[in-house]
Amino acid sequence: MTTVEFEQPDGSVTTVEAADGESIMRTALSNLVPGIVADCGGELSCATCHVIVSDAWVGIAGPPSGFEDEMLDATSEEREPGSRLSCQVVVSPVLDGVRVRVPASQW
Amino acid sequence: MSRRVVVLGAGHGGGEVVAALRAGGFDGPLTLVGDEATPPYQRPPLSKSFLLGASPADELLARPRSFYEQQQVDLVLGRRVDHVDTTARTVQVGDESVPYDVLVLALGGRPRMLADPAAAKADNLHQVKTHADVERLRDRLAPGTRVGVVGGGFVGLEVAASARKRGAEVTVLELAPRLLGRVCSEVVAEHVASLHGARGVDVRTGVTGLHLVTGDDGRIARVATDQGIVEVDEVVVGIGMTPETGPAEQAGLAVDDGILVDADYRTSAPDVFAIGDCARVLRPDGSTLRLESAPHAASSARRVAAVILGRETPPDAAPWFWSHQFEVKIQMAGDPSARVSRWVTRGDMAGGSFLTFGIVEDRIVRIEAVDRPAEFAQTKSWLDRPIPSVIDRLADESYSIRQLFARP
Repeated sequence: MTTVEFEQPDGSVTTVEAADGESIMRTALSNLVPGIVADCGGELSCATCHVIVSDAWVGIAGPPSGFEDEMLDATSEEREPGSRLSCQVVVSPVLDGVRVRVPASQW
Repeated sequence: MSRRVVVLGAGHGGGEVVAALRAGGFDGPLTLVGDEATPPYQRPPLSKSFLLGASPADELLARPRSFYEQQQVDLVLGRRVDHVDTTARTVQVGDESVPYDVLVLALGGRPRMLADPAAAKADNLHQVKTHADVERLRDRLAPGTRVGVVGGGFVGLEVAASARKRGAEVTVLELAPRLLGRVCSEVVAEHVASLHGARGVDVRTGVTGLHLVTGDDGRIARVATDQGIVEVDEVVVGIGMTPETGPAEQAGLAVDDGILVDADYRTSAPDVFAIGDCARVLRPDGSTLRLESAPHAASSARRVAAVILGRETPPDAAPWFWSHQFEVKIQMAGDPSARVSRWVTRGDMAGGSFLTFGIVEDRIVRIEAVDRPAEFAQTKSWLDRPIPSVIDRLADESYSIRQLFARP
């Protein structure tokens, strides 16, 4: 089982088990992780599931592409080098232990 | 003392209410009742990715089945609730009378049907509401299948695009003079019409005299109109939705094309709320607004959860909506019924990447974007604010949206 760590703006960390093949957004919703709004349900239309992948994991999670990259220019909290829309990051064993930061606001 | 919350309707809004309540620390008994056999799932992908692909229905679930058990939500599926008693504070679920302290109606709506008598009986007529509806349609689509789509709104056009991508021969029949008449600008509607035309969809607007002609086998064989006869294998009807208000009417709540609610989604009965597509919200200026959209179902659910929890309510975001047709992303924000005095368009319409802003005086009241997601999101929060210095520069792409809307 792959685990994902969500770090909240106050520094607290929630570690949850994620199903491989599911997005980090769905993992957050399934586990009631605060701060992931996901208004469009993962259709790459709303930019309210923004997370910042921690430095050590950026290379493994990979860069945003196409519309995702454009939409990260419009997130509520300024994008950072590790910014991704969590609906586009698919959980797999190589991401076991990945830590993402949840921004202070999503809209 | 924990109050018992009962939510009627296990669609997008109903699912969000229970999740937002538990996320907000609500530890009382929580019951979610739905008439389908499936826990809450995403409906927007039905006419898009779900119709296109063969992905299993479980991928659409808003949250996994195990979520409801983990969160101690009493999930009652496959049951309709027809009786609500706001005096006794009970709802009738099957032969069981379930008491509530707070009731949330998240009843959604029903697709409208053609008045044509042939519509009721034909086995090859489809509507798009549930994933069962779409699975049935999907199983019938093959290259060359002739599909007649009645209705040129978003559902009809998304089905048309998905069916075309699967190789079907698609004809769209719209009664209004243009596509998307009630929901978007002429600029975007024209773009969508040409997009469909270029991809081989036969789009006919201003159609009159439409009726269904049934063959000997009881199936609809053709759709007859003043613009000729369309031979069909399958017919999809996407002509809008009627809000589900039955239980509210029966319970004596105020209803007028939607269950009437205040800004906190409170109905005319104490401790009864209505959210999402079935709710009609009273606004400060005395007008009312009913919105059919997944983002509204979710935001109204979050607001009601906050009210129940006695928390500060989140600000209501501007109404917004999106559509995907072929590979094109279309996004709209603002009140669709707002009367726009002029449209200002920014970007490359011929190249298929532009925004159009609906302007009234010094405000943007509508934003519609074709393949411009970042600028759409950046401008959305400026709806309905006076921005006199910006309006005339909106079309000028030598200014970035960030420059135009930089806070002073």
